[in-house]
Amino acid sequence: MPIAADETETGEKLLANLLSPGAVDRDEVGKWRLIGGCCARCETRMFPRAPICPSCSADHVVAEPMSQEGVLYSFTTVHVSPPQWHKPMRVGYVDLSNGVRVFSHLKGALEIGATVRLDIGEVGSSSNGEPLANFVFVAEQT
Amino acid sequence: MREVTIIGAGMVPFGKFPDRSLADLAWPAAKAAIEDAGIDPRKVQAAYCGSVFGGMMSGQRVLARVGVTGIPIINVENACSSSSSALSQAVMAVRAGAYDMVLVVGVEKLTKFGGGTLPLEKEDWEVAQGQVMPALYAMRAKRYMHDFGLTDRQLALVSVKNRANGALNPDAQMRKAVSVEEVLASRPIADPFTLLQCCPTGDGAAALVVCEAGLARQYRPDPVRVLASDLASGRYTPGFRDMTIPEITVRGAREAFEEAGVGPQDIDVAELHDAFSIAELLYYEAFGFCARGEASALLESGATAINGTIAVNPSGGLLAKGHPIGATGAAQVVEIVRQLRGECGKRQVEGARVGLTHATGGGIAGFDHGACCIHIFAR
Repeated sequence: MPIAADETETGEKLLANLLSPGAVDRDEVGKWRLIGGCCARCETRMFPRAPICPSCSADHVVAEPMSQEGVLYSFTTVHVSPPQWHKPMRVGYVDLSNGVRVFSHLKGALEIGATVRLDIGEVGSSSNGEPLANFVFVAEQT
Repeated sequence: MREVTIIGAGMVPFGKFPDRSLADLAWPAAKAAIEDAGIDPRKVQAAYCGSVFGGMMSGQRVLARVGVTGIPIINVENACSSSSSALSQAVMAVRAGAYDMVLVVGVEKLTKFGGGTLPLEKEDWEVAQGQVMPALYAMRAKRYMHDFGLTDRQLALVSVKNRANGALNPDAQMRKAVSVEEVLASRPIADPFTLLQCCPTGDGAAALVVCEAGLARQYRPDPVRVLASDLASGRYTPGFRDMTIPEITVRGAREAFEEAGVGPQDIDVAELHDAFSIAELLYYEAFGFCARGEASALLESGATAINGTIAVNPSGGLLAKGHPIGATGAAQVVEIVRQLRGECGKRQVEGARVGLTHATGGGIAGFDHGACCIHIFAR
């Protein structure tokens, strides 16, 4: 289940086990967002942020929040994957309005072309049983 | 530039051999290739060994078993294109005149991981988020089905064809033909793939002897000419790309056809990288064997069957012959060499004159694939 960014014990535990802590933060109203990069020279956008622009090789890539909503390009339900991931595992590619494609865990009623929104959720558990949290894109129920 | 031929080809049957070391898996393939070429092993001037998980000095460990040491041995890792990349380096060296006689070995032992999906590089961003190879191909399949109306049943027909071919190949890991119903009823792996639409985990090795054309007939009357040897790497893109168009293969195919001076209509037999059922269909289109969106119709017409106009994966392909990843590229070439010599018995493509191999792979973020190696051969 996606969890609200609240102060519950579970919520705090999840946040402590965030898989990619540098890639997400919260906006001014507390909603989750991805932090990617934008090349200061050619304006190529990317997620995650790279030190050097993959398009023009300029070395000035600035941090930039990504859109919190995207369109599902494709997805699958995986039954076989390394032990840390919850199965069945639903993953796919989300196309953001700024031209960036993000590989992500998914929740909700999935279909190609569906609008999906960013959240945080439990996607697996570590070898010592701690929940693993990550960004997830959630499709709205239709 | 000098002409290059293949005069020796050998492999061990693919399968599960957890008790054999990597070196013991591979030396019989190297020995078979050397004997097939009819050369004294001391004629080998250099060797290139493709392996992904073989570990340090794979080539030296293998070749010590057959007395081929003291020469330059180069170990090559390029994911599923490892031994085809090794071949491309051997061809380049012989073309350039650095050597006249080079041995290529491909080997992999996947049973050491015990099962499950192929271990990918954990440092990669998407792998760290949960990416696995079946998921990557499954997303291609889902999108292709969405865009072109391909059905589960049509997708399963790829496995039916290749498993039927594998049943005719004594070197194949999976030697039982299956029905569409059996494919669809096997356990789910990554929607839309069931188990029988995924290449099996296994072990194996294959080897080739590459020889300068002017010398080749001293050893064999039927050298197989290398018309094209193309190695492409993926283009990194952080943005949108059409997953139904394998960009790296499209580019590599164009380069290879130009180098060989032939087109898709000239290919009699091809070993394509069918790691998952959808892959073979995408590659029909990428190589221009049919127009975009028509891959399923091409398959259903029988054109890619052993007796069709362009036989694809007569060996059984990765789906049936197996996919010990470092061995795959060299093993594809073993099949094409045997096909062009007319040695394939019940799975022989009659009158095959021009053959093609295609090995591509590497599941890393931002790439269609990391590497793609295509060769075109003629007798």
